[in-house]
Amino acid sequence: MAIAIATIFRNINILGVSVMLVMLMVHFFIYELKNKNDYFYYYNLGFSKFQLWLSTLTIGLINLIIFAIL
Amino acid sequence: MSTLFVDSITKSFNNRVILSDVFLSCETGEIKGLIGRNGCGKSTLLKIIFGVENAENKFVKVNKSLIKTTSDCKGLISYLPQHHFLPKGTRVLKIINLFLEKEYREQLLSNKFIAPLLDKTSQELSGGQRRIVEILLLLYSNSKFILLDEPFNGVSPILKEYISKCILEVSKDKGVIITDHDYENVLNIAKTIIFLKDGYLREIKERSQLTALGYFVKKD
Repeated sequence: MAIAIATIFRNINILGVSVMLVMLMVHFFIYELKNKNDYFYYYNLGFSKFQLWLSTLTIGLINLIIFAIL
Repeated sequence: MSTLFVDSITKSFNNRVILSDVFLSCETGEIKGLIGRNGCGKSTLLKIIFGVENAENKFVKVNKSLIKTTSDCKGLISYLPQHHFLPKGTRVLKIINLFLEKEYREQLLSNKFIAPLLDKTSQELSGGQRRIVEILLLLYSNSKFILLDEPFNGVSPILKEYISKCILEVSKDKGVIITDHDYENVLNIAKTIIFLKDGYLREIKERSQLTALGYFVKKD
């Protein structure tokens, strides 16, 4: 999907941003809408919802930096 | 010995007070049975204690550790929600390996009810099988207190008996607060019964009190 976005905009530099956006969207659709109760597995491991969102965002930012360097 | 101390919990929905200045305490080695009619706020109370539900006012601590969010609960409080929570598409073996520390993991992996399910994903399990995996995951965790919301729901009699046995066994080292509409099993294993009605908790000493409080139908 991220590659599709980069292709549509005909700009490879947008790939990192696309990956990050797709990750956030996937997180939202899977955990906030589809499998909301799965959160309890992670809560029981000692994570809060804020930390889980932050981890998704952090991984997305790392991707963004990697694509920027490449 | 550790103590879970819950005080001043107030919660209302649409101007209807569900929990009014609720006080509750539980020590390791103790099983508390929380019963009440549908919609009286039992699940809400457990969620507030665990930190997943907001309350107008709340004070929860385990020994000297203050519990505000789920991240404060690590190693202290575990919570079994009413609905299944095992991550979809993940094998039971992986779920157990990620969730439990090595010393507890081995015991669960060799469990007679769990061993045949290890290679299946959570979606391939029946409702009862999922429930037993979830309950045993929490009971074998390193948490000092376990909050169980309807653990007997959708479970066969033989598994109910086994779950009761496991809860009694782990309660030697842990504190357990259990709520379920299968009141017979709750009354059988709980050392203390508390009844939630109109936002207030009452300790129940005799079964006849539950009839007087409108939990059972009066027999003529």
